[in-house]
Amino acid sequence: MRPILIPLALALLTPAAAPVMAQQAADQPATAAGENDRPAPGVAGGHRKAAFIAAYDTDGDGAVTLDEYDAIRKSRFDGADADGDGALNEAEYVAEFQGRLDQQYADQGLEKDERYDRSIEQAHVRFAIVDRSRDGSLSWSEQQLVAASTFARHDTDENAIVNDADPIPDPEDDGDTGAGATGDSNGATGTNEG
Amino acid sequence: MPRSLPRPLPRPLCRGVLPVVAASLVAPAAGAGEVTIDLTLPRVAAAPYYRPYLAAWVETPDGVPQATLAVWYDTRLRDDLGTGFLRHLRSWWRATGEQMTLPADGISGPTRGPGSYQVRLTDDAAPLSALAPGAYVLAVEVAREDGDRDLVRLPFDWGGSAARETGAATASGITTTATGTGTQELGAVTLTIAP
Repeated sequence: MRPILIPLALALLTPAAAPVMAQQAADQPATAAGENDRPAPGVAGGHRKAAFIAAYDTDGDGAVTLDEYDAIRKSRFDGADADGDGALNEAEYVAEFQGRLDQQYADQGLEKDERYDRSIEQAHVRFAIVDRSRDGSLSWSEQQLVAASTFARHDTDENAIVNDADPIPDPEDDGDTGAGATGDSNGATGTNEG
Repeated sequence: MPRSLPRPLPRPLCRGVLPVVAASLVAPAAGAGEVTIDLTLPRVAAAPYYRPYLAAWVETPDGVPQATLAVWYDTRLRDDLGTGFLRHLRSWWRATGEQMTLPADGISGPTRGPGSYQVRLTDDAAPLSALAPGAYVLAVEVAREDGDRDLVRLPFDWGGSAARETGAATASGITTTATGTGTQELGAVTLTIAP
């Protein structure tokens, strides 16, 4: 079981891929773009590699290098730092996300809805989680921890490039099926694996 | 539990009271039995390293949960958001954690970094006071973000305060211990039950 706690944070942390999904949604026939069918702006597709590449592949070569990724993250971080103190407070962090969310909604011609409100709420929650020092201020190094985790999730062959060559990762082993694999001293767990 | 000896009584009273005092000093039934869990969270070479979550609970040999003894999670996260990650303590979460209301006084607490820790409980207070005499298993589970999960189970026999009052064998004054070791995220775990 590799990523333990981060999946929840990531689930909330998908603004990067959202523009792509928004575009895809816009391309869908109207019948498929109903409130319940369309991808959630800022949420859906964030874990998909194709969405990740499309969002960060600045030079359009079909791959995202760590440099490309970091450049966008850094630019976004600096742009959000309204008071220029080198770190993001919650308002700055959420405002940056909200700016992109608003853009997606505008691109799709959508009115703000419940999903929009939830996305904003999630941004607040996300801030609390990624602010590792729990001091109400997201430093660049804290932001980099998130970035590294996200990048590594896609860069499955660990060559610092996310592209089609990255194999789809194996499903997470929850550790319950193999006796002893988790250090379970008597191997008695996991008989009712769901 | 260390108990201070009674102060010497005034002479006139001493003779009559002494036998009672002496009896209380030798009888294990005089005070609460103590349950101690010593555990070590090993230093893990990981960057970034985040302090692990931990749950300790008692279950029957068939795995039926009886009582949660300790839950360590990120209590620094506002609105108790840290509880959202407790499901990664999968065995505990499925057994009983999901039904638990947190924070829980005397049970839940913040995460701890690498080091050795002691959880101390008495058999006459929650959460152990309701545990009927019998055979049980102590389970200690640890999960670390971007790390692994570890689970140690230690079988033990429980006399409990009820057994002591009725003079059952398990309350005969013998301290029992059980020890196990995890793999990566959990070092030695020792359960000590003292009458």
